[in-house]
Amino acid sequence: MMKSIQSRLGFLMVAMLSMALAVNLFVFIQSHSMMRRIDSVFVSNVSIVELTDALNDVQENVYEYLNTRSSRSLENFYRYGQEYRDLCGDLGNRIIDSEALMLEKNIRAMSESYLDVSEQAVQAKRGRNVEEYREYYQSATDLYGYINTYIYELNTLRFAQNSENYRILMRSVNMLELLSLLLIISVFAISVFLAFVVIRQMVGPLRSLAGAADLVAAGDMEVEIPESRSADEVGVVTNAFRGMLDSIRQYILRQRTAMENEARMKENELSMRAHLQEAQLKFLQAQINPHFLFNSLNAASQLATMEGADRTEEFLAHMADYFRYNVRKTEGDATLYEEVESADNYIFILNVRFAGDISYEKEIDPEIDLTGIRMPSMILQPIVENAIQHGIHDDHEHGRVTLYIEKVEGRDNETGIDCVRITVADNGMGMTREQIDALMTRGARAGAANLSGGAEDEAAAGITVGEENGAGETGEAAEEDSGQSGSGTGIALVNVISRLALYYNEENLFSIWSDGPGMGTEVTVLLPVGEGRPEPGEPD
Amino acid sequence: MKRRTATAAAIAMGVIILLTAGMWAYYRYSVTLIDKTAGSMKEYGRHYLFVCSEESEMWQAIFDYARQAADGTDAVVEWAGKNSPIEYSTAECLDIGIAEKVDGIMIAPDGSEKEKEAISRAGDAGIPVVSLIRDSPDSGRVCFIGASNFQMGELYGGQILNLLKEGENRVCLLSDGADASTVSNLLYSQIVTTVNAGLSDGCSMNLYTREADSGNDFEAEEAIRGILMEEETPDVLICVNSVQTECAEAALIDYNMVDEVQLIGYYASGGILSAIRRELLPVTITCDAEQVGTLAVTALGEYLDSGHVSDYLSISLEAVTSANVNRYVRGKHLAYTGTGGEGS
Repeated sequence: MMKSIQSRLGFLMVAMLSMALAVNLFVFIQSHSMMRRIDSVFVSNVSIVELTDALNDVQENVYEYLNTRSSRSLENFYRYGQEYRDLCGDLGNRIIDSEALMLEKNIRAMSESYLDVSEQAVQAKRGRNVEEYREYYQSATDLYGYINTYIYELNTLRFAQNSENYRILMRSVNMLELLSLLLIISVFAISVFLAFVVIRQMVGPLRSLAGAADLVAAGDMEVEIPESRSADEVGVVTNAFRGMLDSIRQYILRQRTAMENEARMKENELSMRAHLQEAQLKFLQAQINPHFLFNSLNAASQLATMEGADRTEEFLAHMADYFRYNVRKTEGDATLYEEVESADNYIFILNVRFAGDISYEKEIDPEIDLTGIRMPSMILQPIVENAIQHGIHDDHEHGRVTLYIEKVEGRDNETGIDCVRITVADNGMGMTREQIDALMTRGARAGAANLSGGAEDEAAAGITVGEENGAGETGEAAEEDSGQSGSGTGIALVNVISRLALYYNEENLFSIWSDGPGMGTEVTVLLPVGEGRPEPGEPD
Repeated sequence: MKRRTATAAAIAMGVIILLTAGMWAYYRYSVTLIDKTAGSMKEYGRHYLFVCSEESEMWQAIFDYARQAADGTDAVVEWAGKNSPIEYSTAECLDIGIAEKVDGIMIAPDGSEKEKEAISRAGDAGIPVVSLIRDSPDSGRVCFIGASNFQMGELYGGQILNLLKEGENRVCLLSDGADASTVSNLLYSQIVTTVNAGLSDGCSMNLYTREADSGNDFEAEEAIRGILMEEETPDVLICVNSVQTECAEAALIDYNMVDEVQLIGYYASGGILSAIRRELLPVTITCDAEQVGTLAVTALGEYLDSGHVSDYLSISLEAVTSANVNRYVRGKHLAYTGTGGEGS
């Protein structure tokens, strides 16, 4: 099987040239053979003329010898006699049912008789038998006449036959010329047809490839190029072009994905910056009062010390710590220890406020290094605040809030990573399933918005949830007690969920569990600490 | 696509092969035509020469039948000098046959002395000669095939009796050949004998002979017209060959003498049979050409094979009249307008 265009073209050329050569050779051989036959048509007439000449020579020399008895004529008689005998030898001597062949046979037989009689005449002359040689000469002359007549007849017959043969041959030559012309034209037409077919076979894929290349050049990368099964150069180029086009498509896809990722990352960064700027703005707005309040609380604490009011001094010190943490940590992350301390300060302040009615317990795994675990700031305090304000609400006497901090292995939680689990449990009002779902949905949406870089969405979600919380759950109580808006120090649970997701690039770190109204609430936060934990994404 | 290309290539090759084969076949056919012009190439063992200076339908028929018969005995019969530009006498033809060293000669003798000498020379050369229709006695011929003068005279006499009218009837017997006198005398005697035996009262016959053909061209026609132009025309004119018969018939029509002169013809060519049908000719005496030709070949073969043959082989004669012409024609498968003769 020829695979390359070169070999196919070569084969085509050789085949066409061979065919043309064979046909030309055939025509040449036919014509040559026919021409030889034409040449030989009148050969028999020539032979007959030669026969006549030889016969005349014999007769003349017989006469001359009988007349002159010269040795030259005798010699000529024998010489021409032999020549004539030889020529007669070429004539047929069989009895054939053919006029010409019968004439040949008769001429040959009569010639033998004639030569015998002539010989007898010569012998009689040499024997000086005048009567006898005259008689023999007369017989020879009669036979000479008969033979001449027969030769003439044969010549005429042969000429007629040869003329007919010549006519047939000329007709055949004309027909063969026509057929040769037809044959040559056919070979030419067939060669052109085959060349056209083969070239089209070779150029067809090339043309479709060129068309596809034009489309690709025009930007159409979706053009379909069928796989070529041809093993020639065009097939190789087609398949290579096809492969190249596939590679370009994949490269473009990869580039597009990369650009989309880059754009998403830029959006995330912008979102972060927006968050930060928002937080800084809020921080600056809030800085005035907290600093003033913080300095005032410090001044009050010193005054209480000077006046010997220890409980007041302790209260004011906790208040100062609480606000200091609030002021400092709104712009970054904190350790788990700082978060727990902040929650403790908050509980102390509330217990002073509500005369120590709030039962707050902590169960912390002693193996956990609280200072070594970093997490977003202001996570724990809002949860504890929510448990007190919404969970146990006004029933401080029986209300109890418990903080658990423990290690959880990867196989025991949804993240699959070793975590520290922080649980804030209360035995308060509890929540319905619908309330939990609504809260988690809003939190998840805010978290997803943060993760996808939807700054505006996230901001809107945060604000909305915060406002709702402020109006409904945590924020309402906080406003009543502190006289501040939920967007100030009362950071809502939704915001907590969102910030956790943003910080860890991981959802499902926040969960709420309640057996229903009156059955208490348990809020759990997972802080990934093990191998493969997501890198914190929140800037410091 | 590939299959279509392969099919196209196969068809193309087929066309070329077909054209090439066509050319080759045509070439071979042309060569065959050329070979055919040479004629049949059948080879024979014996060569017989047919010598006859008269090219009438009867002799042509005899030659054709002889040829047919010879073909079955591995022999070929050649008519001496038939296509020759020079007209040879039977004697010369015999000499030619001797020079050709033929195996046998069948001759329609003209009765000349030269012919007899030539027959004799042929015999000397070991070539048997058989004479047909007319005999050539004392010539050395090995066999005569024909009807005897007695047989012919009897048949002619019988037909003359049918044609005689009351009173004296002039009956002219035409003769042919160089030996006309001898033959005519014998035939004459037998006719007279036969007629006299059956002649009715009040009726007489004046039989006389006239030479009408001594072997020269156109002589018969001139002689017959001369007879018919004489002051006393014959009542019955007896022809002894087919040429005389056709000449006489034409002359009678030309001279409007059909009713005056009763013609007894010889041989049954197409023209003669047609004349009988139209009652221009009352009767013709005919021999069986097939029988003559076949017997000639048989006689020569027999002589060559055994060295001897019967001196005389008789043939049958038949009188064809308007009464039996249809039966005769049917019997001989002749068509009314055919070229006639047994040989047609």
